[in-house]
Parts: sequence; C-alpha cells; structure tokens
Amino acid sequence: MMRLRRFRTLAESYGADLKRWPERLQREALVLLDSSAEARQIIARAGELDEAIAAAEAARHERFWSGDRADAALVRLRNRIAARTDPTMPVSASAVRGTHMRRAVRSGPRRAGWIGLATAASVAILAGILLGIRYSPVPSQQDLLALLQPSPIQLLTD
Amino acid sequence: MAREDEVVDAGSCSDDGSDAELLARSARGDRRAFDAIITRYGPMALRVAGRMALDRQSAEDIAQEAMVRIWQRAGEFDARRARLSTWLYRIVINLCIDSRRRPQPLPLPQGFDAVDPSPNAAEAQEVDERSAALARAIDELPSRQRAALTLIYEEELSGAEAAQVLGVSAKAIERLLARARARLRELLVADAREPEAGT
Repeated sequence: MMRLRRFRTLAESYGADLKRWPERLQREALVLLDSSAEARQIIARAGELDEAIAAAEAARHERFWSGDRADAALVRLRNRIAARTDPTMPVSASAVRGTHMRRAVRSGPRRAGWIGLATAASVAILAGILLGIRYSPVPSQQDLLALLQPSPIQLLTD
Repeated sequence: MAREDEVVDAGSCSDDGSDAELLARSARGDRRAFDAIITRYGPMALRVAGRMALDRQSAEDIAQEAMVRIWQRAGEFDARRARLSTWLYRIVINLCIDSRRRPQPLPLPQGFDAVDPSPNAAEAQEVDERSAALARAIDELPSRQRAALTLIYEEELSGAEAAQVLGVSAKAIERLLARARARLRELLVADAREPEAGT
C-alpha cells in the first residue's frame, strides 16, 4: 500500500490529476485517496497550483497563437522549410527573413562535393587542351618535306 | 513568387502513410511525404517551442530548425527505437534550451509586448496580475524544469516518455517537476501575502 509520504511526493511532482502519475501507482493512489482525509487535502492543495499554472500557460498560449496566428505560423513554417529544402524553389527574401539559425541546407554537402569535383575536373581538362594548342610548335614547310624524305639506313660496317 | 503566408503546394498534404513510411520517403527526397510530416507535426513543434521560447518569432525559428533537422536526418530514423514525436520533442526542447542559453537583449518594461502589439495585447494586459506573475516565474524557471513542466503538464506525456525526451531517468523527471512546482508555489504564497502586508 502506498504511504502518505510517497503520495505527497508524487502530488508535489505530478500535481492533482492522477492520470499524470506513473500508471502503475495510480490504483494505489486512488485507494489512499479514498481512505485518507490528509491525502485529499494534499490533492486539493496540489490542484490549486495546477489551476494557477494552467491559467498562466493558457494566457501565454493565447498571446502567442490566438485566432488564426497558429494557422498562419504553420503556413509560414511550411513555406520556409520548402525554401530551405527544395533546390528547385527560389528562396524568397521573406522566407529567410529575421532568423539567426538558417543555414543553406539544400540537398546536403555530399551532392555539392560531387558537383564541385566534376566542375574542377572539367576546368582542368579544358585548360590543358587550350595550353596544348597555345604552346605546341607549328612545323614549318621544310620540316614537313623532310619528314616525307626516305631517311638513309645506316648499315653496320666493320 | 509565393507570398510567405500562401501555401506553396496545397495539394501535397494528402499522404497518410505511417510516420516511418513518410520519413523513409522523405529520406529519398520525397517532398510530398515531408509535407505530410509538417502537416502532422508542425503544430506540435510550434506549440512546444511556443511554451519555452522567449517570443513567437524565436518559437517559429526553432520549429523551423527542428523540422529541417528531421528532413536532413530522416534516413536515420528507426521506428523500433523511438517514435517520431519523441524525436521531435527532443530536438525542439534542445533547441529551446540552447536558445535560452544565448545572451538575451535587455528586458523590456513589464507589460510591453514587443512581439505582438495587436488588439489581443489589451486582453493580455487584463490577465490577472497573479497569473501574469506566475507566467513570468514559469519563464524564469531553469530550462530543464521548464521542459519537464511543458512535457508533463501541457503535452501530457507520461513520466517515462518525458524522461526519454530529456534523456534522464523517471526519478529525475519527478525531481525536476517537484523543484519547479515548489518554486512556483513559493511565488504564489509570497504574492498572496503581499496585499496583507500592504494593509
């Protein structure tokens, strides 16, 4: 059976609503609540604080999300995430406005790495071809004729 | 170009697969699947961030960052180990804790609502002084106490679930809640004594 001391500790943590209490202890708590006036007093006291907390939280929630603010916030959330995660969608100024946490996410660093590597390789190959064309010596007409002449074969002589 | 408040792709939210299926598709780059995740869990991310963040803009930033992290790491999700909601709670709460650690601008005068000076601000001013004081005290709770209070009282998680989100034992959750409630009770008691002392 649950002791009053344990009951008080739980009430001071989870409040008056037994549904918030650990499930395996709820039954024992109910039994004690039925039999002990002091337990009922503890719950009544916890309930007062619960109500005050709930009122404060409700006021905050109302201030943040009243009316259609919650719906509008969800639409903004969807659009901003679309802007950050969809590489085909242009990022509007409004979609990135006023936040300190936004970073370019796009498709991640892996794809960016491959694209960078491929671009660098293409540029290197192109530069090689251009340099080859620029600095290769142009053979003169005499050289070309000389190439057409049969060259004498040197025989080994004693 | 779409306005910020317009839905970019209203037809892309009809997916009704399981969280694991939607995340697996998201990991392969399926934006429609991830839109369904946002529809399902975006409100939760905004709500929880709204509990812990200092203002609404920060709450929206945190929710956004959390959802993007889910998108980036969708392939790592293992439905056998945790639920998506638990994972998202953890990301949002950790981002909120990080955000609260950063130096904050100087506080504004009491009652000044820098975020939202709308007609509702007048209503907010009418909120009972005691409740307003308690709301400030809740905001000033240490982050982990605040998180425990949010998860158990507002999100109605069990102690075990909240413990999983915060990466602590169920006993530790009990202690966090007890300390938070004791602090708030002290404030209420002091507040109740104040008028008596004044008379």
